[in-house]
Amino acid sequence: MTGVGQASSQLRNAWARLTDQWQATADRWHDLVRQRFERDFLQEYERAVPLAIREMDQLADLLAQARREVL
Amino acid sequence: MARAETDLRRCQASGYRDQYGYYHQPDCSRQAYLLERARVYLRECEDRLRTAQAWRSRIEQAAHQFQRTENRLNDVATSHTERARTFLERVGAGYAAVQAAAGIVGGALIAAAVLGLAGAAVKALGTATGRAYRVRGRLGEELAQAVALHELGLHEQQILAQGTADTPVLATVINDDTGQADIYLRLDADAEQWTPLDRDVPVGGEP
Repeated sequence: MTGVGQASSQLRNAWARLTDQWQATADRWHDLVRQRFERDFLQEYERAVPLAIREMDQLADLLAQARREVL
Repeated sequence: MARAETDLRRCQASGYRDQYGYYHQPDCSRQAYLLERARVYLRECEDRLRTAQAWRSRIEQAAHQFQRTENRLNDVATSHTERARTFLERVGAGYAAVQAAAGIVGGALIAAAVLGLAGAAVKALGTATGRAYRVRGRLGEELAQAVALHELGLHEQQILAQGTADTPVLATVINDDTGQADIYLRLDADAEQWTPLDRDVPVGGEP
């Protein structure tokens, strides 16, 4: 696995932990402050992190393909 | 390649004439084979170089495109996370203040509101009105007017809890027309805004 692939895997694991933790938190936090946190903060993570994982995976695939064809 | 060419030329120049004047051409087939093999190898290297250059360009382009995502991720991981942490710390402090204030009004009532069971909290109001009005008197009408009339646009308010130094942290505003209540949290003493915890919660008892 390439460095990018490893980084992507680490980020994916961290993101899974965060979403699990958030789900556990959200199950017990029902007020509008939670909604504000989701709107102002969590949604930005939801936009940025999966996109980064996806693009890192694509980059890792590209590098692997290049290695196969060049080396 | 150059060495193979030199070897072939040297071989080809190694012919000689014998005592009868006949020229003896050397056998340079091995040198010729090695030169041809070097040419083939050179072509392969040039092909691979072109392939590598094409990949390099493609990867550089992909890396450049990823740069924007990386910058955004970096911002999320640093400053955005710091802001989120600060927000959560403030919220945690606010909730802690509410819990601390529970002793003033009644632990069960406030704790229920903190955990998001505001509806249950307000339904319990009917049996806690004595305490609620007592606390309301300590907060004063000026604050009640500011919160309920100017900021929230409602009327008939009851302040259920207050934090340290007479700083209110939790307010329930009851609209007598609708029979519903809104519950608000002020995160700390310096905050100007009240954060809505729950809205339009049915009031279960007489205010």
